[in-house]
Amino acid sequence: MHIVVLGMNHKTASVELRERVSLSQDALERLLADLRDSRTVMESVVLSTCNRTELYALVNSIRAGQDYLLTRFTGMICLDRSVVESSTYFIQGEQAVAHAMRVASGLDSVVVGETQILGQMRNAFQIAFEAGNTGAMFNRLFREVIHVGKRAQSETTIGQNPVSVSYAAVQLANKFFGDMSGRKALVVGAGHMGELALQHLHALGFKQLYVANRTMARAQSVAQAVGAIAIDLANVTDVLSDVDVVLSATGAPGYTLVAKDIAKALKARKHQPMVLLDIAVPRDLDPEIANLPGVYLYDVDDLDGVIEANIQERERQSVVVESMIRESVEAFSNWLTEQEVVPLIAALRAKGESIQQQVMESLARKLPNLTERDRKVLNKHTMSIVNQLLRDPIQNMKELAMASGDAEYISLFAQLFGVDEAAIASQSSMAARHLSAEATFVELFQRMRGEARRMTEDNRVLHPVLR
Amino acid sequence: MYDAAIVSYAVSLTLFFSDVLQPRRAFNRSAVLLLFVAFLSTTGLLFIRFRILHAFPAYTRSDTMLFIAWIMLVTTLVLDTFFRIGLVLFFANVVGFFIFLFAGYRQGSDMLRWFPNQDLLLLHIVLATLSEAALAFSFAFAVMHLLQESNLRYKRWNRWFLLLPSLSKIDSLCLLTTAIGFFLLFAAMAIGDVWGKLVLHQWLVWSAKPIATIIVWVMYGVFLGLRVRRSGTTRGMMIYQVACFVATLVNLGAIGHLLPLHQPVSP
Repeated sequence: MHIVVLGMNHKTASVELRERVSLSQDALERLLADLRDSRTVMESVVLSTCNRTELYALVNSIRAGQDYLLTRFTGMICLDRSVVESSTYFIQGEQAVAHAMRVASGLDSVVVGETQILGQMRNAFQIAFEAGNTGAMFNRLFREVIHVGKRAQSETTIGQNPVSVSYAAVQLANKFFGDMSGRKALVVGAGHMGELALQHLHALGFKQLYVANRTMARAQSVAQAVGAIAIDLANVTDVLSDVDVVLSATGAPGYTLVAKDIAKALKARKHQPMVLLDIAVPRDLDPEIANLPGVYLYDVDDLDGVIEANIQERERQSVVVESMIRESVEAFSNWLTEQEVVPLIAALRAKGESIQQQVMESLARKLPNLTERDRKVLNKHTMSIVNQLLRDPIQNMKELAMASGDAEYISLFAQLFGVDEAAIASQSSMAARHLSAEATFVELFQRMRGEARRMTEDNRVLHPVLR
Repeated sequence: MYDAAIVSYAVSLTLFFSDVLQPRRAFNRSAVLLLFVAFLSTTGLLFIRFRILHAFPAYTRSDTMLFIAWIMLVTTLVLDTFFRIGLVLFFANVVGFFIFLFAGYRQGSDMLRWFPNQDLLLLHIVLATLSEAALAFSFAFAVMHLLQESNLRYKRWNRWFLLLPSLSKIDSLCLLTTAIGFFLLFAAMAIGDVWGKLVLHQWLVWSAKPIATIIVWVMYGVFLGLRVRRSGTTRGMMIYQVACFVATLVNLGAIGHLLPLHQPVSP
């Protein structure tokens, strides 16, 4: 069995192509039904967002799986197969699992660290799960994928450093005042940028927000959405002394506020510091304002600097996320190995319980005068012997299987404890199927090549499904 | 034990610094672990001193400094566990590390004498130590404030800018720790004087140590007064706060040396 992913994203395809493969709800359901009914694909999840469409699948044969998924993709786009092949990527094994985790963590997004993709990944898995396209392996895999995505957001700051001008302006204000619940802010201009900034400021919990605009009707409509007070642009100096943050985003030529206005406001507020953010081009705030003591003035160039620093920080944090992904891939590999040991553990326990039952029956025949209480005590103690005898071998078996990555010890243990291997083989499937005759010579060669590369680069021992 | 503590403390701070420049989980975890090792070693050192002296190790300047460093370690570790405040762990421990270093440098050079009314004296020392630890924290916050204010003023968008908390938060913490240090120092001075009256039969006011302590205390009082009156902190006030701590260090390390009272005195 192999985990594979065939996909198309902003790095490999133009927006025109991505539009074609972006799936509607109906199309997604149809595709999931087709994948479910396919003999090639055993489990599947389809992720379709505005920037990417990816088919995650558990297949028996890599070549057949790739061929089938490419055919599905070609059908969706209605284009020549060679065009589709050149615009998609096909990844398998450990790389496919790590890719899913990178996508969920936002490392593969246009804006590194964006948080929306995690919800989209969770949704994609939920739909596939409800449609019956997933089984034990993908249920576990996507649980791990979503877990990594959550950790990336909660344990690092990858998604916390804003990369838009209006949000960066708010971040700057936040670096001054921290808790905004006692602060007041003024937004000058009720255009698109002003409205966006007002929403960000509102989200920060300012005590009072003002919106000043030349057209009062527009100011009122924008202010209403966030409970701000609308004022006429001509009266903006009236509230200046009352506010800690001024954000200006008008499209008007000339300065809306000059140094004289701010100096007057500063005097009225006893020189308490003011933060002025000018996100307009041409600039709204007179650069002379920066020379006033207690005033911090920032323009678009300064905010670009903040955004650049935030992007760099996201890249630094992505190194931390990569290490989380590595851990999760290993955790998934260990789980896969454990699954192979489970049937042997069950068989061992069954054998132990059967021996204990036989002993109890024999005792009951030889000692017919035992009371009910004696029987219970004997039963409890003989069962305890079985459990204590099996505890260490079971633990060691799990550890050895994980350390080797393979379930090669299963057969040895089965022989050692005299457990019927055929019974285990019927329950266990993964390793057996993995090495079955279904694997072609090319696949075996690819796997050997991958193994050799992995051994030189990486000393981890992963389950064969991930190699 | 001291060597183990100093090495783990130094390596921990180096790893923290490296983590600030380029975040690595392994570095961060190792740094916290090593800080914990430093804490255990310092606790061990204090315990050994306790075993040797059969009394709380606070009667020599090196022991007092060791105790201040220990308080700073405990506080930062607790703060980091429950309330993550950007880079406090690093800045406060840089200050703590130098105090620890100085404690080691003075170890063995201070002589110990016993006094009557030991309990009152111990209370005086403990309160003074706690106040100095609180003032050391306020110094760390003042440095953080100056650094962040400078980033914002000169538009330096580096990692320090991203990791340091807001000016308002640093200011509140600085005010809180200064206020705690200020009131504890007052209590320590008052108890010290009462002890002087009981043991030496005179109010100890007109000698260098009490005068220096009162000057330091008034300096912090001026800071608090200005801060409360302005309901905000300026760059100048934070520079003044740093000067206050320098005065505290001079008082702690040098003034006592010149005095008959804070030198070993026969009962």
